[in-house]
Amino acid sequence: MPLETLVRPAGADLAAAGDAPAASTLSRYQSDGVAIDFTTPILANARVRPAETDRLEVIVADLGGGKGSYVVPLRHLGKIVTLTVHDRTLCEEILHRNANAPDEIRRAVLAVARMGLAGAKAAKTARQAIADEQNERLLTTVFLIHRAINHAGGDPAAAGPSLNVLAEEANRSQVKAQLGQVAQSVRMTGDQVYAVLEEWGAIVGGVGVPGMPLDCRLRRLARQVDELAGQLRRWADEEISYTGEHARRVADSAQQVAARAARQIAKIDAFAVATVETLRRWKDTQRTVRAAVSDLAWILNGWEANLRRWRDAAQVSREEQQKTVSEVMASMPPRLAAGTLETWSGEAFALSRRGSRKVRAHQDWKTGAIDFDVVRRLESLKEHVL
Amino acid sequence: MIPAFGEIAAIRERLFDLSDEQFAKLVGFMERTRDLSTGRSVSNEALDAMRPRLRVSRPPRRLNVERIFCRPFEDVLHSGPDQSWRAGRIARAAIEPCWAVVSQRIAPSLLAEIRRDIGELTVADLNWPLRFGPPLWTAARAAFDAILGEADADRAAHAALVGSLGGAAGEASFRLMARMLAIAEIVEELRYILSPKPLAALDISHAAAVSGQFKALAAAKATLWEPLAYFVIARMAEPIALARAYGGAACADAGLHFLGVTASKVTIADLGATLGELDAVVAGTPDAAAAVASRGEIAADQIAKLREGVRERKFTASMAEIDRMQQGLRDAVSRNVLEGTGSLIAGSLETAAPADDAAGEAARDALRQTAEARAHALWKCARFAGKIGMDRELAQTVKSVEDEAGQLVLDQIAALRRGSGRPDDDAIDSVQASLVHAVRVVELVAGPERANALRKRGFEAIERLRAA
Repeated sequence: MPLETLVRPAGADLAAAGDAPAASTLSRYQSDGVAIDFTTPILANARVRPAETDRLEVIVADLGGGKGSYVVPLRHLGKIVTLTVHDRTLCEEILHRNANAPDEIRRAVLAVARMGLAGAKAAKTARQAIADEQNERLLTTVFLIHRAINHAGGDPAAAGPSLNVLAEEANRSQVKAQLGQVAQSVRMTGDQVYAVLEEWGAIVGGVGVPGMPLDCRLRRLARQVDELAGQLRRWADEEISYTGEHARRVADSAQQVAARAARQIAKIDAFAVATVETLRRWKDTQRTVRAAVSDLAWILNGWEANLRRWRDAAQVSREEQQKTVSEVMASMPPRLAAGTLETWSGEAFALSRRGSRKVRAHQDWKTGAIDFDVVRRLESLKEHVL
Repeated sequence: MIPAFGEIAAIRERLFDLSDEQFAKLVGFMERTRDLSTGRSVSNEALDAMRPRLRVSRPPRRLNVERIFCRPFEDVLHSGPDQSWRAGRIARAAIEPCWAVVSQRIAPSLLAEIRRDIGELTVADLNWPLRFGPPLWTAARAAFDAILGEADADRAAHAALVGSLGGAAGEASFRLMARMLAIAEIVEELRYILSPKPLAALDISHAAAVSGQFKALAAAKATLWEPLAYFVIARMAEPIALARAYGGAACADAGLHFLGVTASKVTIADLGATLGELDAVVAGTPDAAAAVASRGEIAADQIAKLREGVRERKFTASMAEIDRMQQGLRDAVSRNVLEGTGSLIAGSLETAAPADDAAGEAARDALRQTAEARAHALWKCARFAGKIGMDRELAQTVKSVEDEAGQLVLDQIAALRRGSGRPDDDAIDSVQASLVHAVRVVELVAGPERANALRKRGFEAIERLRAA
């Protein structure tokens, strides 16, 4: 099938695609912190964010269920909470990588899970996720090359190098030669265009480009979040307890996130739709594309865990599903930031922290023996492939 | 086209890959197919395979006559693997044979009329129980009366009935269904009062409503109080709460007292059934220890509550029977969790050399998972050991497992270091996997602090190996 027939018609124009997302929206996500898959039960809904200094801190919801949160320096977390070995290793890994964005944290989580500290199945899933991401990046690059060649007026039927062709080092020169026409139109060499497309593919690998036969991770996640909203609404229709109302609120939130993610994906896709123009202005657009993908990761931050929870709930009773809905509800960050927040500092950031309490080691904390049934359940969430 | 059995496996595997819309279409197709006699068993199988997704996606389920028939006793249904009889419960597996017998005695015109009126209605339509229930339940009651009357009067008819219901357990389910249907309208009324399910306790308004219904059925006390009690018990989180509240001689309300006494009987029967199943667990099978640990924890809790209730004279039960049940649980824990744990875990750590082939690797992974499951069972049993007087045995096993696991893996690392030259990466990776396994076992039996100490020590040694 010619590639062009798979490509969606252009949506937003390139100028619109370059627009930054509303700062207030994005900064709100950022100040909530990055959701992180800890296996220690009381950290199940914890989030990590940079502190006012250059260190990282963990936000833990009030243990008594009240308003506000505990904010604990990540490096001291082990002194305050009895951590599972997995979480202790994860903290060390995050600190070592100085990871603070969703993708960076995710890579740290996968690296630790791959070791097997969350169980053999989670290790297998992590290895698979890492391999899938690499494949998605590669496939995205192939599709970008296709688009570049076709946009330059090549014969669509003859043009596209396949994944196998691209993977072969020997065919690389042939692919570069095919890019010659587009290189000419953007005043670059074939090598330069190839390098740009590789870089572009690496940046948008988590999202993919329009017309790919499979949805890449973030695009898939956005669709699943949208479906989750529908599932929760239907579930809530049969629920007469207050949990039904919780489910509706989570569904509303999921729908908003999915809509926002869809808009963001359209913006990212618009760069691919206008392939030649993007290539021509790559020096400027590269940063914008990168920021757009990062924003999408922030928008969807935390929903992967919620989807896993919901999928896990499929195996259990209605009562357990009610608990899961409450857990998902509890995992959603309180929207404390009212104003705009360009960076993680300043007045607005302070506002976002209002209502949270600092915790000192061995004080004001419920320590105790870990419930390994809950740990197992949290570990099993890592086994679901989304 | 009805899916072949091979395709059901594919449905099970790709259950979550379908979009909601595709899934709803598939469910609709299966439910329509189920109405055809040729497609019934395959469709049931397919719907069973789809149950995990059904639980979360919840596409509107089609209403059908069987669902209306089951409504009065849906709370007491249990999803056991077979039709085995449990006091106050009806196995889901009993529905189909019972309905097959009863539906033959219901006027086909009535069934056809109900089917026609149902049309495309789903269970989401709130009015269906009131609209379709009474005519069907009345007809079903008459059918039950006729069938049971014939069976009680004639041995051959009884034998034929038992045969078509699949045995004595099927017959017991059939008789309970008949009694539940006899109080269908009362159950329907109480269901809305005793919501949301499960209730932790009956509050004043609940108790008054339940008591009122017992009084209304006073004339048929011998036959209908019991199914009413079973229904109320099934709406509770823990039947023993009813036993404690109303099982004592001090309870002046005859209906509620009957409810309390029945609840204590159901609790003891449930506990007996659980312990019977634990007794039947074959030691050494993959899930034996996990089953004993998780169900044993609930059983230990129930035993403790029964003992406490009897001591406090909240209800009456035989202390000797409670002691027997406790001993049964102790035996199950000893046989399935404690015995052989040391050798199992040592076996899973015995060799850290890379496996020769994929099969060897898979076998080792399976052994490690079994060992981790056993360690988890050990941790779980340690939580309730005090309730059944097994603290000392558990503590001894835990100590020996911790010592042995740590020592074995550190010895493996030391052996690798002693070898000539730098060990290859595969050997290092393999010993690291062994270390991670040992850490997980120690974490479960001795806690995260000890496990972390082992991890640090082991990883430092492995880093030195890599750097060599």
